[in-house]
Amino acid sequence: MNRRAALADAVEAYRLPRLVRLTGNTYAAVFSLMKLLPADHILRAATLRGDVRPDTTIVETTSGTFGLGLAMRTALTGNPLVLVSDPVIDDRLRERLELLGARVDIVRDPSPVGGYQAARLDRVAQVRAEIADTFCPNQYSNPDNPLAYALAAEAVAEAVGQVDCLVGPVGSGGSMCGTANNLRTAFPEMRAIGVDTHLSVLFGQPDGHRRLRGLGNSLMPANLDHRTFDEVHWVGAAEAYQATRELFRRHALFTGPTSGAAYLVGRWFAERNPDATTVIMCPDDGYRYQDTVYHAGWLAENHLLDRGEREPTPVADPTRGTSGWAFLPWQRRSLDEVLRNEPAPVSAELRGGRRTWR
Amino acid sequence: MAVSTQRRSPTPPSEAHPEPLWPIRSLGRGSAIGHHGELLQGAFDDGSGQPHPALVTLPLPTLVTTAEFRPFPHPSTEPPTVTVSPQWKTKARAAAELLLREHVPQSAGGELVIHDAGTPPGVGLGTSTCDVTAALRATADCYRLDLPVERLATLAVRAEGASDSVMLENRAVLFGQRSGRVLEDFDRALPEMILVGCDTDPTHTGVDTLSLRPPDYTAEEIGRFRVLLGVLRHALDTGSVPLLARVAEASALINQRRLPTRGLDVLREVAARTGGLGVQVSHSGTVASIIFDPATPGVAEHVERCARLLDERGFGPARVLRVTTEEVAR
Ligand SMILES: Cc1ncc(COP(=O)(O)O)c(C=O)c1O
Repeated sequence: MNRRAALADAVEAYRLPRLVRLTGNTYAAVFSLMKLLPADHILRAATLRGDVRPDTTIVETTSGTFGLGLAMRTALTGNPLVLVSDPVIDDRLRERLELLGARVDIVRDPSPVGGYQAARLDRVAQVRAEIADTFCPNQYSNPDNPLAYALAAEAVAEAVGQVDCLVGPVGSGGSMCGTANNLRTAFPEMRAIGVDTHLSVLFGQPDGHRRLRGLGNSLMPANLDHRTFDEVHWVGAAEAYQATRELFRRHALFTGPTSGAAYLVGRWFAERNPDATTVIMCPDDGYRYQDTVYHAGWLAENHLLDRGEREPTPVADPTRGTSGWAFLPWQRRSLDEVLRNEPAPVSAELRGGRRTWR
Repeated sequence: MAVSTQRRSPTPPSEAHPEPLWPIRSLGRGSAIGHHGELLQGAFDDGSGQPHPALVTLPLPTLVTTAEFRPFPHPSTEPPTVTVSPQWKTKARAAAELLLREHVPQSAGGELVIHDAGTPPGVGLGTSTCDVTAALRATADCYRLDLPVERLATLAVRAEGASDSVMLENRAVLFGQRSGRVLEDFDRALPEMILVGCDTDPTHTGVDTLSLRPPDYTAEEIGRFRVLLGVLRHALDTGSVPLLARVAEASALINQRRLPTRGLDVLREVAARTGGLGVQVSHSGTVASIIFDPATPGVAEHVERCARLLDERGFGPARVLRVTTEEVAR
């Protein structure tokens, strides 16, 4: 059972998290590149359905790690890949994508209505019209994105057994909704805490410029099921970057800033609930952020040094925006229910008299 | 992981032979243990891309069926025929004939007698596979055939259509009930457990396992089974009865769509009120149980209250069953 065998390929080598104990019963689920998991699963499922054939061109709009996940898989399967992005894509990522054989298509001008996001979607439509056989993975609405995280949930459950609280960043919603929903098959009362950032529309804030990237969104993704979450936190770049550095300093885990954001919140929960088994999702490693998060000079220049926030402030109405570190007891409600300030429905799972956490 | 103990059985030569090939006993004996339904049943990823139906049985070493096989003395070139007592144990008879056809050249057949544990077929206690396994063992014993369990499993599946892993005793495995394949050997015995068991529908005529629709699990459910397998591995590694009970109850809930368990809500409520850790069901029968951890202080009282409450709610007679970890004697 514990015998080590060679892994089939790089996707298998990198797609699953490693469960690392931080302190007591707090664990980090450490991914090298979390987005490889949905990228691989979406293409695999589409291949089984016959939607992706050996020559099908994969077309997706992305400027982040989901594109890298797709490019790693298509490098192995040989499918052509077109990634539509905008000028903010970082050069090193672009170079990696191109080395993996992807065509990176940059839209130069934002659309008069809908900005770069709309311009990118237009460009995707245009590319798909030019090529006969294409497939668009569509991570924001494809149900195979959250379904992919059954594998992550399996890895977590196998390593730590019962999970009382899962904390992680939210972008498309795929990872947190998929992992939490799957773990709740066995642990229906498990607490799920989502971590977002200011001026992200995901949990009711107005859209705006966000410094902290990788989590948050300007559009509402269909894959975000708000009813998953017991609690939602909003953190800013300064807090997240500082926590990322602390995660490295204290536990030698070299991660990206969305992991730091989750660590900030997960550590807070674990300190208040020492009996709970807490798992913190850490979606990527730190190499892409060495010139920013891990560069003290850059942090000082950008006024992102630690503000010393150690406690979140409760908010009642997210539509007014937040700053610093804020939280709202979401209580597994829909976005509408929260915005109308309706009470939480009492679910059968939570009624059973099982232990609840602070 | 595949099972590693591959003992070779004597391979009969293919050409016709006037004499029996090896010394036979005048009487072969075999036995098999029953089970109390499944801890987990669903469809699992076996790497092929096609979900593979499989289950993890909850064995009951105290539920023993024995079989005796007396061979007809003279060789024959006709296909072997077996008579069975009681006569309705036709699957056991078919299994013995299948084994003779494939492993004993020129056998004329013989007489098979089954002494079952008195459990009715169709309630999900593995009565039928138990008969079949005991019959296969008695027949093999008669010819001193040392068949590996994987071979027994294959023969059982072919004689029955669908089977379970009782031939593997109390070894915890993920077993393909229609393929006869061991998909995963957990390499651990189950921890000791106490079950308060009942038949949820005693008036029911029993479930014909083969008539159940082949599972049509959704992609979401197949993902959930994968997670339960992860929890199960952790539970077996750490000997955690509470976690096993969680797996069992979750599996029961997912499978309600396929074969509803009468009164499952009542069972869950009784479990919650008496310190039961979870409800476990037969996924192709009507028996169910509430799982307790023998290590819990005061467990005897909890178990007694639970049995009493089940009786009161019309699920009696409730039986207290122990799942032990001792090696099963055969
Ligand atoms: C580094 C990083 N963290 C977190 C997330 C958020 O994950 P999800 O889209 O599954 O909500 C992403 C998504 O792109 C990411 O790239």
